[in-house]
Amino acid sequence: MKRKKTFPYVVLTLTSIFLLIPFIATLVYSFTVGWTKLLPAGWTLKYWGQAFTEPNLWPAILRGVLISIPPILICNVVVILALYTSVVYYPKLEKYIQAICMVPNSLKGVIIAIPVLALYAGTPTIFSNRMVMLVCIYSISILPFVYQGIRNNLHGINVTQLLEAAEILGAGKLYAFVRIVLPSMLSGILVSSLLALSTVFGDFAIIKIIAGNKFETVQMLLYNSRVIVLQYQCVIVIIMFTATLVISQAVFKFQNKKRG
Amino acid sequence: MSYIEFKNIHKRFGDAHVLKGINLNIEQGEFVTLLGPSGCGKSTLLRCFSGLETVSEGEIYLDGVNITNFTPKQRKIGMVFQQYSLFPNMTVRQNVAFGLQIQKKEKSLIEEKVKEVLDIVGLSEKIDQYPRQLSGGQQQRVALARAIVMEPKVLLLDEPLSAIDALLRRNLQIEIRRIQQKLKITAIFVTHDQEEAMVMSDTIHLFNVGQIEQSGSPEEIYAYPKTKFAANFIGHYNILDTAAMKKVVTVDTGSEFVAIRPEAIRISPDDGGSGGQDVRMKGKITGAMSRGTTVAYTVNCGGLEVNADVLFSPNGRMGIGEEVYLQIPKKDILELR
Amino acid sequence: MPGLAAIGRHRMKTKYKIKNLWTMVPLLILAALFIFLPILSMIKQSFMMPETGTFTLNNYKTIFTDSVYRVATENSLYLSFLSTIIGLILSFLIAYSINELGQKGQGRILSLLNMVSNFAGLPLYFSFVVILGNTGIFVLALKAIGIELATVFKLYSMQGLMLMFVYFQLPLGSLMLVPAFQAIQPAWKEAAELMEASTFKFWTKIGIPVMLPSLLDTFALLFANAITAYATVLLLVTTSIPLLPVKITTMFTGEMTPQREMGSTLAIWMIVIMLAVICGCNLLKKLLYKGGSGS
Repeated sequence: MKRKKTFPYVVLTLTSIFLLIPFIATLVYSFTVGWTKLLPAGWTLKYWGQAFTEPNLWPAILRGVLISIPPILICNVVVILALYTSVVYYPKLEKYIQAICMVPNSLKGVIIAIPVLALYAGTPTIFSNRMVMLVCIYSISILPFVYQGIRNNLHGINVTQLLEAAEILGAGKLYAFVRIVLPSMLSGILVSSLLALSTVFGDFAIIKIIAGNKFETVQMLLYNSRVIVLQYQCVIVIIMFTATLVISQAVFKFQNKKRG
Repeated sequence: MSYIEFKNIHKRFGDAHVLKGINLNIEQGEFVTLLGPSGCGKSTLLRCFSGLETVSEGEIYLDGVNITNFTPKQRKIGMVFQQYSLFPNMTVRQNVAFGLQIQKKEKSLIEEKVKEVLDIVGLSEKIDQYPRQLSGGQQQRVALARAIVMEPKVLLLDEPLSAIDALLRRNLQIEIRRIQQKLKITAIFVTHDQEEAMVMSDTIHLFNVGQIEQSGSPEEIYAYPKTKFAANFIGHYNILDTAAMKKVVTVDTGSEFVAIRPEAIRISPDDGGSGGQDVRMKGKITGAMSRGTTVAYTVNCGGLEVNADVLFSPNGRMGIGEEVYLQIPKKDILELR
Repeated sequence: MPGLAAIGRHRMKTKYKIKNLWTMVPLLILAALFIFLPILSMIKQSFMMPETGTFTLNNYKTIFTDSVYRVATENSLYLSFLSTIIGLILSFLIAYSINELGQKGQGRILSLLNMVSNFAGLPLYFSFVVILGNTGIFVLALKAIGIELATVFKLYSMQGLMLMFVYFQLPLGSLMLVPAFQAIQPAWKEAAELMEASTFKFWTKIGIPVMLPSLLDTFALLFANAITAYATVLLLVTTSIPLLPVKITTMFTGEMTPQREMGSTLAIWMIVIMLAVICGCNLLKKLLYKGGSGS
């Protein structure tokens, strides 16, 4: 029986317009010059040129990529160690691991950065180094993604049975892990790494609080350029948005590829 | 000494006493089935033999050697699991080659053996496919290939066909038996399906709550169940309370229960008279179900419900409510422990 | 055989060797050093006097008495609760509409929502400035037809914050609620229809109560997001409208001398608020949830 579909369509059309306006407006604005009346005074590519020739832009992007690599490595290693052991040997521990890994869903941004800063800043430990602090906080922030990715992979394959079959065929524990379990986890690792990358790119609070002006990622670049012309910032915004869009599309494709 | 000997095997999981003193011998080249309902310990015994479980008490001997404390690798066995245990990230070829690669065999030798064994199971053309591209039955055949390419001393099969469609199961049963006989490999098969056990085995060991209830060839177990459990498990048997039976007819059985195969009972509308070799009962038909080649009658003999299977005959069909006479040869009334 | 699996796990359990548990340690160290220890340290600090380090409850008293902190708390609560409630209602309607769509339409709108959910913080701020800032496109367009938007709406105010917050709550909330609608069986709707219940009645009496757990979870998540939002707040109102995240940060960083104890107290206070909302939602879930598959 067909229901009247006017309500949903109206709602979704309005929603789409509402959600897309900021992006579209920014995009359009970035090509304009001197918009003080109803219509812009002129159209130009100069702000785009400015952005791409901005000497600080590419290093900023690079810094974003670089700072996300150590957390991805650390987090994956830590979670794989704990989760693999739990799934294979101590299934009862898994809920504790899950509890720990899901905490950062609530503790984001300010709530995770301030306590760490308060505790370690100025102490004679290695953690007083801002870069170390940053890497460690990012490692915590991406725990939920990494956990989900690894967990879904481990439960998707029948790990215990595979390991038993491998043992009968003569494989040692490490050999079995490297040849059988690890390859099956690659898609999960890839997806969570992409999510981690987009988290780091989208983060402002943590980097501002911890590193301030000492480590200029694109977000900090944007923040520092507040005094420059708005169109220029629009360009940066569009670039950033496109980058995160590409990443999340890749994530989407990989997740669906796994299911298919 | 037999090829495989289980000596007084006990296995406990915490408080649960799962195997209670199992003594079992298996000859080389024999196809042995461990049969029983869920939780009876048959899989546990298999896993103890494989080394994936340790025994709490007792010893296991293989080819004269005490393997009780050996690791699975040291035992030189092959195993096919119920759940598809093929490595998902590897092709059929890589799966089958896995064990040989661990033994660091030469590449060309590995290639040769892999092709040979895939030929035997009839999956040569799937050699470069991934497990997810294969059907359940095909996956199990690859699992079988992966096990036998290692030339194991014993092949263990833990309910390998339980998750396969009924239609396909029969073919695979015959396949597995054929391969086992061709390679003359000793096989221990675990299942809860008594028909499967009948089709495939040289010897059946019927398990009940951690102990062996009865051992014998499929014909022996089928025709001469020794206990009520066995008769029940094999299925189809009439299991009658002797006391109740004695109220209806004279029998000189000593046991509490007797078992009678439905097809051993003759039904006729009139009292046939003759031979003292037969026990006769009078009753009324309460049910008649056609099963193609046979008709299954349920007859009520003075309160005693008896099932009788009769070969289908177009003229001999009897109806519900009819009074009939049952004739049972004395030798077919089996005393049950 | 379920029995065998349970037996297998029992067997594994009895081998709790310390040797094998070392793999848990790295995770525990990471969590301890960067979640538990810092927060515990904050809690300790919040009970300390600034100079002497003696135990005191003064800091917490100050939060409730000093107008600066009271205002920040009130603003944060007002902003977070209202934007979350509005966001939740709108998300509900959006998710409902999505579920009424066919496969293709659903795919498209879900992609859109995914795309837009990346748009938050700094980039979003600049986009809003482009539209609604002092010389924003929208503002100028209205001016051209003679309307001064500034008389009813200022971007750099609580209104602007509210609008931006709702904007970034929508994709998140909608995406979270879409799967929840799949728990609503069409058979229920049909049965209700046969009993001549209006659509509205169906939703208020059956639909929403069944979806309550998801709604409460979404509420908690949106609230947590809202109350800890930093970038948007910092840029839009800086310190002209006191809000907790910014206030806390200025007590640790910035040119003035750091006020560790007060800052810790404020931070713990914010965490307590957040936890209270999360626990409240969980409690409501347990109390109100009738029917369905337990837990």
